[in-house]
Amino acid sequence: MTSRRAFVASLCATLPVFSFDQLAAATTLGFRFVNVAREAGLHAKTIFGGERTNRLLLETTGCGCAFFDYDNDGWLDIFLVNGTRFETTWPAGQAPVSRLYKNNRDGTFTDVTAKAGVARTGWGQGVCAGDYDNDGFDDLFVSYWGECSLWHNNGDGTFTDVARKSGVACGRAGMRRWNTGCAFVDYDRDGRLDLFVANYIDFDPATVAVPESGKCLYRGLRVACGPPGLQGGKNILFHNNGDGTFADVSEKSGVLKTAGTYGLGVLVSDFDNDGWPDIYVANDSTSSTLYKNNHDGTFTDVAIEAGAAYSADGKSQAGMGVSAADYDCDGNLDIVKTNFAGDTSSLYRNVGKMVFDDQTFQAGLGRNTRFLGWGVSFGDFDNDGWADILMCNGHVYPEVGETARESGYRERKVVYRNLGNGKFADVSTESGPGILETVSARGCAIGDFDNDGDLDVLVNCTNDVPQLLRCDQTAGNHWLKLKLIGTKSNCSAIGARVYCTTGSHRQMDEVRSGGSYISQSDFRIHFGLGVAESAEIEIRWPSGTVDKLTAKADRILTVREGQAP
Amino acid sequence: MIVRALVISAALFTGAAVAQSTLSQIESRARDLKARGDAPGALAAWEEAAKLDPKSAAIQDEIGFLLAVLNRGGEALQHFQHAIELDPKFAPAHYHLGVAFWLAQDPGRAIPELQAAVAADSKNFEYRFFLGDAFNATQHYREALPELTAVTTANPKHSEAWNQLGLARQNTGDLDGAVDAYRRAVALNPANLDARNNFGFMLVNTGKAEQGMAQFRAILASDPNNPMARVNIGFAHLQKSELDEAERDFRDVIRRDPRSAIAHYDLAVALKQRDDLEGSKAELQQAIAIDPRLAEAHYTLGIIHWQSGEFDAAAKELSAATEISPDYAQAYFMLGTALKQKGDLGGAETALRAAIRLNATDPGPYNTLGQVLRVKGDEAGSKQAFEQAAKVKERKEAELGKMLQKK
Repeated sequence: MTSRRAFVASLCATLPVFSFDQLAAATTLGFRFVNVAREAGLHAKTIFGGERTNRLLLETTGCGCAFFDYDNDGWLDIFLVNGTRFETTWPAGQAPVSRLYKNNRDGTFTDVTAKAGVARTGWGQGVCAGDYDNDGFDDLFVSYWGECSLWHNNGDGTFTDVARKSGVACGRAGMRRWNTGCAFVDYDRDGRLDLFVANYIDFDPATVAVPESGKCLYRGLRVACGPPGLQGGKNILFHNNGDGTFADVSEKSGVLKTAGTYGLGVLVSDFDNDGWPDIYVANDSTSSTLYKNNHDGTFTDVAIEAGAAYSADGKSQAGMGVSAADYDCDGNLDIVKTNFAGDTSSLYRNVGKMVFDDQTFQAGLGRNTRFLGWGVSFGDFDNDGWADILMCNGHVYPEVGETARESGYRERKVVYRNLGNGKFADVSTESGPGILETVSARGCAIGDFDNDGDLDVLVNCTNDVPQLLRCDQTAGNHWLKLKLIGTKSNCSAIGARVYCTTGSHRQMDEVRSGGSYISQSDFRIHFGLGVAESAEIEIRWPSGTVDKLTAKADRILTVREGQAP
Repeated sequence: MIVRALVISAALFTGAAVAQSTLSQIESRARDLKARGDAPGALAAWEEAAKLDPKSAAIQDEIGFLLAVLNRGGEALQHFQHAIELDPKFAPAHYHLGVAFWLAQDPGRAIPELQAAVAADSKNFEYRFFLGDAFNATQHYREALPELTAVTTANPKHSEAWNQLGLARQNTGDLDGAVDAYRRAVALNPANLDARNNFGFMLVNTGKAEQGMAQFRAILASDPNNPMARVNIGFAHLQKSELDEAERDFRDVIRRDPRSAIAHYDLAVALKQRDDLEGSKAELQQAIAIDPRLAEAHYTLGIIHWQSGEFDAAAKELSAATEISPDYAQAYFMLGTALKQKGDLGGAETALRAAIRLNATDPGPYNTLGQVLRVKGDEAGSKQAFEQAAKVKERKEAELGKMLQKK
């Protein structure tokens, strides 16, 4: 390992009075986040239910967001899902719509929503990207309570909603499905991206008890009811037919056979290193789901047996967002999941062969219980070669009000720094004003919008403008970013695995659609390199192709499948 | 034979009549002395009576009672026990013996005697009330319920009986029933501040924090230094997540009474809710130093150690909680979890099975047991535990579902 951490570790040999943890945690953080949303031009407010009270659970869960490069100019653009309100008549032209912002490559963005044709009003939920038709332009799937949108990227700056035509509208007669997290995934490795859509509740506002009934109390407050007690939704898996249409294979694939429901965050990764993508779903108030890919077009939910379904004490948690990384660099992708207030987040260490060990407490994530977590992402914010964690928070119920403390409706974020020894230090208070600003955060995506070699954060906040947290890295560590383009594999390279070796330190990550809380992060894979000035890269494409290369640090490298430089 | 028998009987009757007459006079004098508060005099008189009628359980009981009044507890016990030997169904002796054991802080021997008293005279209000009270005091709330239900039926005007029934209901999960019982207790005797405190506490616990607060304020209006009311006002703030106010109230109680274990405990809970684990730990340690038998403090301290990844220390505290309170299902559950995480799978299994035995409606211990059995290689057992958890959860959700659907 070649980083500041190595230096700190070497100090431990001569300063036995202090533990490694203490020394590592005490070093200068090396990064800080500043909210630049306003200067960047992200002015549109996300509307989602009542601002002070919510009568229905649908008003509480908020929207996702995406960092993706829709025009292939090498700069991340932004998509922010929007919601609406019950019993509100919007003046013409003022109804809230999801927003697409084009990156101006100077730290600012231009709202191109209307021009791109993606303006849609409704109860928008999650978003995920993927080039489902392999035309070289990433498309967008946006989930809704009700019919979903599949925005086909026309390659000319415009999009067309082809959800109905493609068969992925997710509607259901007589009941509006509450579709949430989503991910494009080539589950059968045929080179075409399929689509997974999590479902929360089959939600009918007419039949759900309301707060006035007094049946649903939180801290003595009358609040929106559910999800426990409400009819859980069924997840959907669509198979890409290769002709612009999809077939619902939920039943055939075994996706409907799961112990958990109330699905929110979706995470696709190859957890058992068998080369096939598995699907993890963070379920609210029940056991999480881990669909193991059986390599034959079917999945089996193994979450409970795998030890990734419950908390360390066997309790169902209110799973919201979810992210994966090999945080301990042992060659297995681990999981972090955000949960409800009064509970901790979950850190499941993958010990191999589809077995997870809940390391929440051992790793130092057990001390924060006052936050209610949503968007979450692993990311090497200080580029030291170890994945840190960022969590976005905000209470579900506006009724809890604003307090001087950190556990009101608006909450600050939490940043955990990876100490490189299986443990994390809470460095939130040192991570800059963008972290400490309290908002009601929901979706969150990470990506390097200014291409300066560190990971920035996009946050969608309920009934508020978004946050764009620019990461300012001061540690001086090196980095490497890889933009992968599939040729035999899907064009977005979703599912490609990349190993990055610097000396004896080997990192690993995958190109992923969806993730966090119903959001889409940068497809480009980012590695912090510490003091290393180059790295050995190995790319394992979904097709089975393996590319190897040596890459110099501090650059964004584009690699086409089978054509490594 | 018949004539002889009659003669003997007559002779015996005559002799007894003479002795009875003397005994009556002594008993009368003894009662008179007792009524006048002359315990030594009354004792002497009853001892005199005992010489005349050494087989009388009632006289032995009276002697025992007066010895107890004169703080000669050891001797009192002997006389109560002697009375029971003479007449095993003599209810007052069982009752007095039970009370004597209770006062000697020996509930294990007190409760069976009180039960015997009730068995011998089930209509006696006092016996049943004391038995119910004793069950409550020893946290045997389920056993207390029928006794206290009976006494409130027999005497619906007794405020304290309702108060104790409320306590039993509260601790057996009948929260609405508890609120009702406390409400009656307060209505019957507005000066029953203990009942008012309990009433307020339950209102807070059932989501009516403001109404609960009003009860505590009423207590402070008549007793400004009432420590429990002050603690409970803090508790009400705690329930409303008004942590600053709760902390202020608990610190105020501690300032007035630094030896208030419950205030230290509640302050610890407030601090824990804001994730100040070190501050919380310090308050819990103080609470335990003051009252080592405060099971909740051991439990919460165990949870803090657990959250911090200190599983040995967590197990120690959780184990202490279960020793103090053998019915503490949640403590067994978390003990099992901590033991699992520190690698003591056998200990974890035992603790989790105890948790399930005490509360079969919580899916958590089943799931954790499933995890333990999986690691132990018992795949079938593991699967069964997970399935049981799923069933329990499903049942709970079905009940909740019925409640939440409008139609």
